[in-house]
Amino acid sequence: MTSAGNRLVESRVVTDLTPVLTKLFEDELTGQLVVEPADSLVLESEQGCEITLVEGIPRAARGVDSGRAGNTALESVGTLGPFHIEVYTMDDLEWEQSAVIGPERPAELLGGDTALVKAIRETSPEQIEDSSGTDGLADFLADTDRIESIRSEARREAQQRAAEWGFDDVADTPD
Amino acid sequence: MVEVFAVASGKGGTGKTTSTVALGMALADEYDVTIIDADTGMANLLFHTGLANVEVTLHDLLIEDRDCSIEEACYNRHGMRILPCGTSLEGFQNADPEKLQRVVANLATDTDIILLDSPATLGSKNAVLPIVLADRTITVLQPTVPAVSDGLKVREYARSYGTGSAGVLFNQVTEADSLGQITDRIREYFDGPILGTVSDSDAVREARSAGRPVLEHAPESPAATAYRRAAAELSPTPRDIEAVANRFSQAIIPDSP
Repeated sequence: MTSAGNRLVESRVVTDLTPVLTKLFEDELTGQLVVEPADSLVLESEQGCEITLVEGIPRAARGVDSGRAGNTALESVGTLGPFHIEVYTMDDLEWEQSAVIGPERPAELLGGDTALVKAIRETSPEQIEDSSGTDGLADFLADTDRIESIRSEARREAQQRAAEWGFDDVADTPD
Repeated sequence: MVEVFAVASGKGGTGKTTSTVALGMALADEYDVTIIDADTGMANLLFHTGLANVEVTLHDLLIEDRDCSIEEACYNRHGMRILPCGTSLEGFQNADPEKLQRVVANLATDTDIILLDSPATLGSKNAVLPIVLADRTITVLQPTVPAVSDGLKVREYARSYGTGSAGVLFNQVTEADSLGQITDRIREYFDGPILGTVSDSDAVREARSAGRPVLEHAPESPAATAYRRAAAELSPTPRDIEAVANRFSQAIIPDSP
């Protein structure tokens, strides 16, 4: 993800991410939410995640230090707070295909709030429409560049984490 | 013989647990089947199998100082041996993933097929371990872009760790879905056949509400029939116990720092 015109508008520690995600949704923020478990700031873990939003709708996620992308980056954050959050407004946003997430995924994975998930789904019909139905799925599967981007990113993650978790013996050697 | 399958998806809400139980019951007509709730963070197998009130679960086997045998945590229900996982936060936080490997290796010595109900995430080593331990993955997908995208990541992780593919099970399919236009690509990307297509149906929802497997609650329903056909497509491969044990010994996880 690249960005320009960044402005930090909030930086604090929270125990629950649902109110944060809800406020960004209601404020229709275009920018990034950076979330890190408070422990990770001390322990130097790689759980931090940047979530990119357009008009309050989450569109992409990437690990701050881990290089993970998409839902894997979101999942790395975990659900146990407290969390340190930073919110940036941004004028210009771009993200890679491998970082694309379903708009409701942060609310599902980090907040666990079904009302917010429902509200996001109802308010982002173009993303939902784009990502549901077999016509949309057929277009997605025919986009070989996008598919290869997702697969190669997952391979890279799997190999990196094999070393991290001690799965080296079973993992493929990187090309 | 034993073959270990990870029932996986990468996205929550695709019906993994429902599918694990249904496939297990269908396979149990012919094989000795064990199903394990390997989703130690968001366990729900116990709610699908009428075991919501049991006291001893997989969590007790994964915690260091619990004096509990594997037999105490397993329950014979619906024609299968079921190892549910508890839902307490304490159990999750204290669970040692290395012990899951030993539990699976132990159960593998006296069963034909093990199904691991796997977490809907790739976010931790606990979540990825079932894919590493399995011989093959069964990827449960809704026919949507987010579900297939997440499923692709799971499949790629599995491929990287040398785990084969048993194929894809489409679940929660609606009348509006037209799968004919996507099946070739799905077979190609997921390295295996389309095992079956299970429609979104009242029978599945009613079974879930009743806390009963769909093959028991509505055995003649289209969903139950689809699961039985999918199970028949699995063609379990006999594997030597020593080879399985060797595979588990390779997936050694270092102790936590």
